[in-house]
Amino acid sequence: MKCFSHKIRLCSFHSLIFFVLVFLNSCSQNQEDQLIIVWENDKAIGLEIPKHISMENLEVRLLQEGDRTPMLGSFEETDNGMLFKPLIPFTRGLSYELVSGDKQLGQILIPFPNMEDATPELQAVYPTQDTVPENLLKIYLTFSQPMKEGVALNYLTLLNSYRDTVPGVFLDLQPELWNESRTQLTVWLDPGRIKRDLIPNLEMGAPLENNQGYELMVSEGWKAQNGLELGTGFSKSFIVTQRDSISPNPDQWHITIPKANSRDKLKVDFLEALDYSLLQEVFTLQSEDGQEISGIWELGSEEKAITFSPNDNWKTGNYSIQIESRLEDLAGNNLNRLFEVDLEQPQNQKESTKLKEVSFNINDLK
Amino acid sequence: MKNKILLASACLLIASVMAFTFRSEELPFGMTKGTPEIKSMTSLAFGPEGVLFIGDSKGASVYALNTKDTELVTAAPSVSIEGIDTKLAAMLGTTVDNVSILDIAVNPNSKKVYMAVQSADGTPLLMKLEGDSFAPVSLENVEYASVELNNSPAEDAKDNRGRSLRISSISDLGYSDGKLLVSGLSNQEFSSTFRSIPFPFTDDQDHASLEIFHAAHGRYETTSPIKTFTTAEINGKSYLVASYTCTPLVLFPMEELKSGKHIKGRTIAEMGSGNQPLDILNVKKDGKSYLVMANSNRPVFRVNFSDIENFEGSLTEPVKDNFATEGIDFVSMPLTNVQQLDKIDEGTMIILQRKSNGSLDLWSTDKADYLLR
Repeated sequence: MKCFSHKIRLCSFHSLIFFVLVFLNSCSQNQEDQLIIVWENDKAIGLEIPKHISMENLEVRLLQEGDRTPMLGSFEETDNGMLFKPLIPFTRGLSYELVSGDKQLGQILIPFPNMEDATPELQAVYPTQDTVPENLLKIYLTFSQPMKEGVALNYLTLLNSYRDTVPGVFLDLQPELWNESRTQLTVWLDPGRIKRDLIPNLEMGAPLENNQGYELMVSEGWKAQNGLELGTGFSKSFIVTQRDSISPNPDQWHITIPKANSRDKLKVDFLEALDYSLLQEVFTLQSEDGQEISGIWELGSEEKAITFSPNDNWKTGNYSIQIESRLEDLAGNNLNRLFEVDLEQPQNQKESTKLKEVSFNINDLK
Repeated sequence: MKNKILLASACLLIASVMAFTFRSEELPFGMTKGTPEIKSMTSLAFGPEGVLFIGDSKGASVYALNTKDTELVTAAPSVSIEGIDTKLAAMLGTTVDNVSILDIAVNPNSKKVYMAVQSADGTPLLMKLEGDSFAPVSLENVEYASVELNNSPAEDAKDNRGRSLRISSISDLGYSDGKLLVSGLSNQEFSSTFRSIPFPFTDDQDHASLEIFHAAHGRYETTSPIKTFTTAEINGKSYLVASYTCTPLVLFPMEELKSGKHIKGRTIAEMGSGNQPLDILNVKKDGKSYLVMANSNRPVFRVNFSDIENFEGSLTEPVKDNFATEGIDFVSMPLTNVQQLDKIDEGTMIILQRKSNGSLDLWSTDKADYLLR
């Protein structure tokens, strides 16, 4: 006769959390006789095997039909018995078996995390404004959970105004461009199609057409690293406007200068949307003696402005906003150069520098 | 007193023996012993004497690992593994959709095949082919050196949860003439950096960061990240042969790749739309040299190097004509859906290919002479 016991225990041991969900072949097992999953950073990194089980011919396998391949990993002796550490963490949602020869000694399911807070959500798509230039280069997607890499293009679709899928819009780049925590993905529209006169551009035209409406669809089912899927799809509609062939020019930005002895926000208005991700890290503010002013930079609506809230009251004097020249607009034109330079057009020779500077003065009259 | 002298002598003797026995061992290539904290393995390339360079895009670093796999093997092994992803998944205890092979590199000495594998949760693994099976390459307590790539002024910029926003992703690695070559792309700005880093790594690094422009048909000059590259001798001169994310194939004279210099490469071919270059190699067969290039959405292309050499004299000038149709003769090889490509020896390639029946196979071309004929 075969029966199962289900037991759940939570405790902490060194920074590890043990979570138990065990299916064993005997109803009379006590806790010391059970398989225990060892967790670290929400990953199932080990399996504690009770003392009474002999190490001889011991194997851990994925529970599946057919394949009988033992998992790669190491067995270590511990005070409680043995610890099996697989080469990669166990996969949530899958079951594993402990076997000795042909005899199954136990099996265990690696549970999905608590569904409510662990289900991934698409938090935002950038650019946020609903008009983009026809040479739009990048889209950023930000998620609430670290996502699985390498499958993005299975879940991203661009529809035109006739509700037809626009083929070959996104660059199929492997490995994909995720940030370190795998919560932000950069998707490039195919640069070979944006760049005029390259064969992809001549063959298929630009990915986006001026005066046309599009809808970006992100479909459900995209898995997070924890094994849970995007529960709901997402769509964003936008209209395409003419090509942007002008580099952002800090000299033309509107600066709202705060009052002395206040903590009012300094506001820099770009008069156009700029790159979401770059905006967050290319700005610094210096006093006239070259000291960096501490405070918080915050993006304005639709990535068209940025504000700075100082930690201390503003003092009178001259200030310099330093901007790294790698800052780009939505079409990949940065502060030094255009995304695409037409050699047949007269060039406005600008000095190529790592930083650009915008100065302002706070005086007592403000 | 005599006892004290004896005791002191014994201590001195022991101390001398200990000093010689346990003196810190001088490791090759300025390496240290330990366990590198590799966050990802996105590119692999072999350097000298069994040194494996591991590109860590998430960590914006390159690690040089002493594999100690230096046995000289002249005969290239014949490799034929069907359903390699299924086999890997079973050995790792997961399903096939949770396993990716991100790069393959063959040790030029031992001819052993190394693979960078990533699981769906992001765990990186280095695996080595042993016969028809694989073995993990341990990264615990190994000899290694590392170099950080992220020298952006904003490298410390963090989001509000304290994590870096910028990734200097490594698109390809190569080793040539005492230098590690690294092509990079960023998840933020659209530009091309190409670094030439002396190896062994030194404290005083000269990260020759380059932004490379390429001229398309002589009219539009653009920048773009390099996806994959190789180095080659053309008419006795060293060139970087680079393929871009927008697919043109571009030549740069190696001698011009100097720190801070903006150079214009020469577009020698375009591969057409909807395609990404994946891997590029130069191979020799029966006295002929070929450039072989795997593509995401095209068959594998082959170019005879002598065709490229025929354009001598204008190699550094912007191209006025579209050589994809007028000049260089690109031959499509009967190989589609090739995901990874490396060479085992000068005339034998190893190929990771998604076959038409859906199976991901790893095989060597030793029995496929027709490919380079």
